[in-house]
Amino acid sequence: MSEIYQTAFLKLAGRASGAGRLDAPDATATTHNPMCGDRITMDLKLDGERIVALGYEIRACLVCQASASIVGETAVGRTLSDLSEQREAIRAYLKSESEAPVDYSDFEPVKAHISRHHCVLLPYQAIQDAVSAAISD
Amino acid sequence: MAFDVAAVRAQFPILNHTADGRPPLHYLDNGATAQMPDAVLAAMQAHETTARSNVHRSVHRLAEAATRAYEGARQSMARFVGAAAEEIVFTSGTTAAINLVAHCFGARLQAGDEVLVSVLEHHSNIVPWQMLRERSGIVLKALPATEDGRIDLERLDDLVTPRTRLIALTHAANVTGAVTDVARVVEAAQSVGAEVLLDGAQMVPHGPLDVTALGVGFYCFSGHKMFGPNGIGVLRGRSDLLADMPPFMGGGEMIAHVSLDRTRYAEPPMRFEAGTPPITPAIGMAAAAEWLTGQDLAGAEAHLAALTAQAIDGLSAMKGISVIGPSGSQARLPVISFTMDPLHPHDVAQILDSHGVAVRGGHHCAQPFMDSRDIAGTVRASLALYNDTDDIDALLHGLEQVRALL
Repeated sequence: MSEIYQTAFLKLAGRASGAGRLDAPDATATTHNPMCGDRITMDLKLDGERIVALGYEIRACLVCQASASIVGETAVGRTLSDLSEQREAIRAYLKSESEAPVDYSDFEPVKAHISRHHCVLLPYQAIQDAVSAAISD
Repeated sequence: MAFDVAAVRAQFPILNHTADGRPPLHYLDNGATAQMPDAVLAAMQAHETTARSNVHRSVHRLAEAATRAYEGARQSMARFVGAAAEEIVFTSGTTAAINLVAHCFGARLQAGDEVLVSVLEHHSNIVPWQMLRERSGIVLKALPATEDGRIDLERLDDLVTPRTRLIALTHAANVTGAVTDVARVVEAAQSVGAEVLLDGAQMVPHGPLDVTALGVGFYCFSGHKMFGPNGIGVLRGRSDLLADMPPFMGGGEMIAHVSLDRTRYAEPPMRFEAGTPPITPAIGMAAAAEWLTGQDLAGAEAHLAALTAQAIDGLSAMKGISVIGPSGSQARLPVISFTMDPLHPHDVAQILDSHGVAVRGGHHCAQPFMDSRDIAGTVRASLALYNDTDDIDALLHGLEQVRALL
């Protein structure tokens, strides 16, 4: 049986924390995963660099949904720099270069499946894309 | 006599190899890459160990042997598709072949000229034409798909116009397995003096064909999907078309004479083979073509039709599964795409892998088709002649396990 789909992981994905669109977001973008066609539309409300509200609409695999759920649970109140650092920490963890970032211990089996790493990172890419789109507007 | 699938399987070392701690392999991702038989592996090994050299230039024994082998591979591929050897251009694969046509045949097109593709195409038969549109101002049109995953050829009358210069379609759709009615496409093209390009990547693993009889100008396919190595493919271009096309890339092999002022180009097919060609892969691809031609292809066709029916019947009996593609056995390849509501194809494929079942999950480089169905992707089981009923049983059993887990 695949080790990824353990009970805690499935519960995390199923919670879909933060799912749903925001009204009048300060930043929004739809990001696609070119490898599989998954997509996530990320909405942010910002106070300077700090995220004060976050919502998203997602069509993606359980790995991406679980990662988005963590973002939904933890991103509000953090700065964009924090999230950028978190993204790099996750990337390093998936490459077995560091320990699991807080909240990501259930992703341990994903490390062995390189084709799924981009699924974990897609919500963070969406945050970056939303901010970039807002800056360029 | 019944098709001897066990004898075929015995020729593929990877099918008899089990990684430590892994269940037996049920390889159903042949639409992405098929496995190589001993005959192909041996041909490449023999070349590398007895005749490895560059081609066409040096006069020593190894170079002569390499040149004979490489040009022999060209002749083999010509026989495989019913063409002349000078119509066979070796490329790195189907994608490179289509890009070559988009650049070189495309160089003769004018702004406002039309290229017609379909929504069922692989990205490799869409993006090169979009890039040509950006370079030259051509008009790119697309045939829609029917409900059962075929190219809707009823729309040819609407979409083919006097400005149509090329109809570029898949010979068999990589997502749905639907085989295109080529005669109808060629008739529509000829009515306005247009050419036809076929993406044959999914078709050629099922045996030799006659592109001359098909009446198409261009036929593109890859080695790695027809039991050969990767990094090699073929563009078959009708000789008058190739003769009229400028080169694709510049460099060695494609020249007749070079001075600092100008270069005269070689005649086709060399005109389109700049640089040292993929010699050993070409030899491997030819060995694959010869191996395939020597199989019981009528038996294989019946065998694969039975496996396809077994798979579709089993899938259709499962709750929440929808087959995306033709439901019958007519004009289709053993390529079966399906969705498993509400699950994502990557999650399904990942769990199937844990049971030793290798399938493809995702958009299969056919995002326009997926968008037309408003789905992220499908799970695709694509069969080759070495697959057997155990493989289909493992797929169906694995899907039961997916349903139990998620």
